[in-house]
Amino acid sequence: MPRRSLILPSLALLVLLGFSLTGWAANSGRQTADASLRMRGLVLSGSVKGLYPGGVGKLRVVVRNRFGFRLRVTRVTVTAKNANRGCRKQAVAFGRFRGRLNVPARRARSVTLKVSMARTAPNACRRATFRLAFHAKAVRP
Amino acid sequence: MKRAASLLAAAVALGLALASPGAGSWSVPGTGTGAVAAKAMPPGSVPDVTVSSHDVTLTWAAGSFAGGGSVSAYVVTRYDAVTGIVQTTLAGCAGKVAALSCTEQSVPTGTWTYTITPASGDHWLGAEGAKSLPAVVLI
Repeated sequence: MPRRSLILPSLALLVLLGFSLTGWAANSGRQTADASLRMRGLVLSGSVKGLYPGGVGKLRVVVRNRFGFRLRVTRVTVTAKNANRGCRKQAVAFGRFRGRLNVPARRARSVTLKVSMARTAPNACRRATFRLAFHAKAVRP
Repeated sequence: MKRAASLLAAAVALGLALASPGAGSWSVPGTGTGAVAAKAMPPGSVPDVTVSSHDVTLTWAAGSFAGGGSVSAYVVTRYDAVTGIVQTTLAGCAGKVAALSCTEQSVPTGTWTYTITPASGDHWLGAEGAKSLPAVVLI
């Protein structure tokens, strides 16, 4: 094959690769921005009062979708922090949600999780408050 | 020439794939915070006492948590009504009593008062209630 015939395709290849890399970089930047947006786009909250040793309660978790499109929540989990020095997080246990919860754009839905306190919860857990962190996973259907 | 065309096609495909705005999956993480609050224990009630020979029967009102739910057990404490010293609670009312009455058996001669302390689970204790009227156990 004559060398001259390769010049045009090679040039085209270089140009396209340049465009591709530019696009990839822009997309990568967008994804970084998306990541911070995503963190605020699906927000969970919930609280419950009235736990006591051996008691079981219901924790209603509100899942708020701030995006302009529908989301399908597939998982919601909860972790607790120690309430105080004498009242450790192991004193409480939580159920978790696994399934399909459709949350319309800019709307909220809720899931109910089981919450319980161990019979062995120490006296320091009286009137204690456990701070919770919610985590959810959703997909755009 | 065929080789050049193949290279061109591959570059186009690569460019489209990388530059596509839809690249990457739309899995969305969600986060948030909340709280779970535990109840406070209710205080103990004042027991009624009746004496029959050396047996003292106590009855008391159920302790309830604010917002609902009853405590699961109670601790009975006997005091010497004269000195105020705590005595060892005897069989029938010793330990945690999972009822609203108990009969302490073989109580020695003397004048005694009793208190009720609500309990929940293995460790929770409420505030001790006020002392009962004196129970007089004769010889």
